[in-house]
Amino acid sequence: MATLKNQRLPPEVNRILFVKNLPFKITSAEIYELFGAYGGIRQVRLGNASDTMGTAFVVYDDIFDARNACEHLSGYNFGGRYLVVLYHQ
Amino acid sequence: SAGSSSVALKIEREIDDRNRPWTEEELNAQLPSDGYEILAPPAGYVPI
Repeated sequence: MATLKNQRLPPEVNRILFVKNLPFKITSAEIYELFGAYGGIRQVRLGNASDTMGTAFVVYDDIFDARNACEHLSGYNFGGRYLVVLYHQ
Repeated sequence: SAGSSSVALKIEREIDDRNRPWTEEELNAQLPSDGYEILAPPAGYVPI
């Protein structure tokens, strides 16, 4: 679907996605391949502590790419787990 | 863009503002650093 650049976006939509339920052993290549398919990635922060394992922040360059990724990857089955993808508030 | 109504222009300006590139400091201000590591992109990663 063509993304209209002048489409009004709800306020909670932003370029930082908070992802939960990732496999603990996920690699940079896997994250960049999965999320990078939706657009340029500015930065990824992956949880490496006991209380952050399996979570990540994925920052996109473009807000429409972030929305597209959030819509398509929420509930996506990756490695046998369903991803939770939320807009970072 | 020529011919856009003022509303479209206003929205476009808002989008541009929400798409303004972030500096490292701005990212650090918004994202946790303890408990998280910044992943190095895989070799040869080219943003589409």
